[in-house]
Amino acid sequence: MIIAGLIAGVAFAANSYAQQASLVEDQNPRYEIAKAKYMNMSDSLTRDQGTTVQNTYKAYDWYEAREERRKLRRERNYERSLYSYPYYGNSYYYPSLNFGWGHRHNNRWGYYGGGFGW
Amino acid sequence: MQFKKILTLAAIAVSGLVISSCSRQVTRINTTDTVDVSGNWNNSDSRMVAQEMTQSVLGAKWLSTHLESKAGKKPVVVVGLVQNKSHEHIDAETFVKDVEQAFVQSERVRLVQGGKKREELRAEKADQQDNASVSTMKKFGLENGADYILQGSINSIVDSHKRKKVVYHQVNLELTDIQTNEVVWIGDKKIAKYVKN
Repeated sequence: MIIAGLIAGVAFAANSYAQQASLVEDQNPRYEIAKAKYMNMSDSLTRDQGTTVQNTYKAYDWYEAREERRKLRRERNYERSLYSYPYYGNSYYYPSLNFGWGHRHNNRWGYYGGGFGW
Repeated sequence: MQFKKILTLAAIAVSGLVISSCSRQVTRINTTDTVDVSGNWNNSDSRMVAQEMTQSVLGAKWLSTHLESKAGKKPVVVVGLVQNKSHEHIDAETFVKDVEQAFVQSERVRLVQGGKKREELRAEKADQQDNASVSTMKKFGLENGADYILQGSINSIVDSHKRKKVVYHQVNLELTDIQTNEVVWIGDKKIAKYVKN
């Protein structure tokens, strides 16, 4: 038991001495911890070397914002004109006698309300 | 009869004018010419950054300091990441490659591959272990370790109101000692543009 303890002690001391001896001047003796941490991820961390990481942001530009607003409005109005039913203010509307059914508009039969329309 | 002839000729002339005005026109220009079209980042900006950085990095003190401390041994540089934090898509390779070229051509700084190109080189070496003849097979573990890493960033500020806009770009490249993490050189190029729509 005593002999085994002595051998373990000697082995531990020899190991620590070897580690101390491998250090260069002023080197942190705990460098192995950092080394072990980065050895496992060096591949993924250096894969993108020599490339440009794009972390761009959208800058506010008054002129561009106005153009975008206009474009959206035009698109919205176009969509509305496609899917909305005709109304009195619409130039496409013309009064006609029908029995609950509207006239054909944009290739659809519109229906507005019951009863007679004019 | 005469009137009909004039009318035909006029119609041909007008149609010719319409066709030519619609067709795309391409003119070759010199790569050193500055042509600003939209006010966005362009080839002239990239060229100006490359010129400034190349001059600065090769003329800075870090090079002579390194040569003195390492007994004339040339520094080895690897190119790291460049972060584009501006509002535009910019690929830094257009000007970083010029800096790399200056390193190689000046023969004062040695350059080693990094990233995917280095991976490819190692893969080729691995392939040679099985397929190349013994006398031509390249060995692992004999790469040149870099002394410095070149990293960078691109930033921008946009100030706009109504039809006026001022766009400011700042490009920074920096060289860091890999052993000590000490930054030995920082180069910058600032570009400002006034754009009126």
